[in-house]
Amino acid sequence: MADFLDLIVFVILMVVGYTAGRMAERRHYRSILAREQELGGVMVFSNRFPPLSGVRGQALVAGSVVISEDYFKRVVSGIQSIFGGRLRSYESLLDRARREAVLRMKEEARGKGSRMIVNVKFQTFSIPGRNPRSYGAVEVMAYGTALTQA
Amino acid sequence: MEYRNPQVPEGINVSATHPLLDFLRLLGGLAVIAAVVIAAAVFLADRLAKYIPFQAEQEFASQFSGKLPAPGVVSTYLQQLATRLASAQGLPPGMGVTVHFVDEPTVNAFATLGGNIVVFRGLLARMPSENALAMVLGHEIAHVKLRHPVSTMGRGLAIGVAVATISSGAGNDIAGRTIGHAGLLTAMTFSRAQERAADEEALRALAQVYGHVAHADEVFRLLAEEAAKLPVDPPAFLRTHPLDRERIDAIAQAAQANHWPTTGSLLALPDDVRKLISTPGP
Amino acid sequence: MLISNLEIIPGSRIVKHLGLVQGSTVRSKHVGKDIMAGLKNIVGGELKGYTDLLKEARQEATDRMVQQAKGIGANAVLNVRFSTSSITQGAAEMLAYGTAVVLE
Repeated sequence: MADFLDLIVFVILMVVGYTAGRMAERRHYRSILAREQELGGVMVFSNRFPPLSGVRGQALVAGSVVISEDYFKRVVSGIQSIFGGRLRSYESLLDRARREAVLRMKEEARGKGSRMIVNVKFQTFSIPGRNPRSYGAVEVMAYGTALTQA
Repeated sequence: MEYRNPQVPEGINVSATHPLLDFLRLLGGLAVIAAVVIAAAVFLADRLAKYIPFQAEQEFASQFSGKLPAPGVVSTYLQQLATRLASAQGLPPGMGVTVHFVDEPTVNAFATLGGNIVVFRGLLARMPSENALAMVLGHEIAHVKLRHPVSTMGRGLAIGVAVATISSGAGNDIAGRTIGHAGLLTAMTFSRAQERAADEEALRALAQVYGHVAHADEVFRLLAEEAAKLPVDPPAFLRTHPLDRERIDAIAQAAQANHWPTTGSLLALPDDVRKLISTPGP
Repeated sequence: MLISNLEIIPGSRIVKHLGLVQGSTVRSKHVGKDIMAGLKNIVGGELKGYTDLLKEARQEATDRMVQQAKGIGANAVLNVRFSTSSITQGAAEMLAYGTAVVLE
């Protein structure tokens, strides 16, 4: 009987993880798309050298976000890693996190009156959970130099 | 030099597959792999278990002999019957059976390592004749002869190891346990084949000792009645023993194929035994 | 599509900077290779399985970055950088990013 209880708990966690996870993801993507339109005026480049004329000031700006996986993603990627290949369930997680980090960096730059960020770099970390076998969350940080025009 | 930031096309860094479909496909693949690995582990365990000498089994079982009940009138009678059936089945030299009688109302009998067979009063009291009892004893003796107890122990170990390997890959406790249960369900199918083989051997011995196979299916009718009384009937797949109906049919078919008469004179249990088993024990 | 981690390509002129493009992929090796790697932990040496994993991931990440660049009309990606991180047990994310430009 205890076996079936285990199975029932598992199914409940999967269902909750899936539905809540999907809803959160959709909502986040909508917010990302809207803000990308809005912040389109702040441009990002990974060039190291700024344009040689017309630059008045520069400041280091950064944006970071920590997004957690949901139970459904964790189980699916666990099974996927037995077979190897692309972990499709994590791709959307990282895509969201990166775009969110860039948007937050752009917001900070706009706050300083800048319209261009150069030398943008990314850092990705995975934050483990307490239990060594569980993986908790992914942190992405985007940073660069925001230039203000003369 | 122009600086612009046109909108990048969507969906390049993500896969378009629907997550649920993905999950179902993965689950299917995993189930296939689990079934294959467990079948392989069980097959190996079966082959290798036979190489464990019977003496080793007996030594292992002798550790628990302190817990078994002392011999008495009933167990002496059962031992005599068992010895006749064992010689009819042609047990290999060095292999013997020891029958123990447990005075409890459980309707059951089982064979375990070292040729030890346990029969409960509950089952004995329901036996309408010695012939029916002989079928039960013969069935358990056949398990010993075919080395099923040591096989099952080996299988259990092999499945445990295989499932632990697969579920460690899944990297998640509850998911791992669920995979473990799936593994056990596959294992139950194999032990039903063992039960069928034991039934056949027992029937053969019965025919040899008594000249006919009357009352061979009595115990299964009994079990079917007991099961009908239960409020919930577990589905066939989850039981280790093949459905009683199937076993009754199998007996009828074997009797026909081997030309064993299904009717004949029945022997009753000895009086002193019947007296002891009809009154509830201490 | 020209891919380089140089700032300026000698002999060409950048006409337009088209912004940041990224390609990323998350990959893992199957459990068989994991077991081999576990055994390799005893003798040491190169883990061929994981080397291959990262090479495939790098290739795919670069391809996706190029796809994004093509989508906005670039013909070269400069200042390409790679970043690797481990996401979960046995899986690694490879990110390739750079600036999409139009060269002449």
